[in-house]
Amino acid sequence: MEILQIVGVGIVATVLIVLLRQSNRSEYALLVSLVTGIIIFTLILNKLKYVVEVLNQLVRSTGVEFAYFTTILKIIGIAYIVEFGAQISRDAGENAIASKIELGGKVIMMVLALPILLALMDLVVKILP
Amino acid sequence: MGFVEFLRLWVKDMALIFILISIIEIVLPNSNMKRYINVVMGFLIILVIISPIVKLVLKDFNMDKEVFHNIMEGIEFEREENSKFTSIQEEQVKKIYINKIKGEVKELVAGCTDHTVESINISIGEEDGNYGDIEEIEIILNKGIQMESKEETGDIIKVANIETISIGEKGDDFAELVELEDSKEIKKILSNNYNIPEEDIRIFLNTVEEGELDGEVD
Repeated sequence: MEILQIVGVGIVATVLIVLLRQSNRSEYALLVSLVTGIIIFTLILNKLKYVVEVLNQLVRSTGVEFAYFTTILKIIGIAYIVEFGAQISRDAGENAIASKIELGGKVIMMVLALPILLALMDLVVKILP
Repeated sequence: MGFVEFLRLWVKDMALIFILISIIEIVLPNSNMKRYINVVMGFLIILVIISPIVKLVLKDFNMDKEVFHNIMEGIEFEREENSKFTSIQEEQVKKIYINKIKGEVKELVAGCTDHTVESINISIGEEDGNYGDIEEIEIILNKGIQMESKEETGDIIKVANIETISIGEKGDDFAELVELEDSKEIKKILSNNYNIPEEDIRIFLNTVEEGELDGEVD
């Protein structure tokens, strides 16, 4: 019944944040939303671990190089973290910071994807006679 | 690694990678980050599809050869199934061929001798190189006069002109047959016509009456 916990934590946090904003304490509202995000993430952590393990097994049974798959997983993780940070920044009204966080995420994702890109280029060059 | 095995692994890899990608699609965040992840996953799919082909090319794999080898195997198999049928057909063709040559030889011999042709044996080459070439001709002649006399007398079998042959002395396999002395001319004509050496043409004269063979001589 993790879903009930997650939704419950989310609703409680939302009510709390609304009340805090109405009483002109936006700084606490930001902290509450941050902590709520971390709590929800830790709640789904075990499930996520299981999913990743199954995906790992699937990839090992294929001829696909394992490093590429880990790259994909890392990129997904980065996307989530960037999303988390950027949205909190946006909630706090700092759109500039949010877009900087997103920029950082994109660049790191690109760096991670470069080995795959290089391998692809290598293949294309090899296939030409 | 056989070609079929290669195809099996390839298709398996593709199927699994697409299943994986669709699972990952579920956990993607629904923001503008999704675009970038999709690009990288597209790279991965292309890699999975292309890399086996590259491995094959680097191994100097000749696909034409493989395919033609399989086709040839199929043909061989069919031939094995039809071998019985083919051998029967070959026998028939050989028979017809020999009969035709027999007819020609008969006419040739009849044209240059008084004797009538009793039977002709022809052996032809069986090997691939000389298939259909005439190797040996054996002609057995009947004395023409006897035949005529037989025709004249109708049903009465006349025993006449029997030459005495001593089997032991001659040592010939054809006990009742005497090699015809004046066969040079026939041999010459035949060897010219069919381009075979004269030694391979053997002409015998049958000195035995038909009645004698049947054991009905009075």
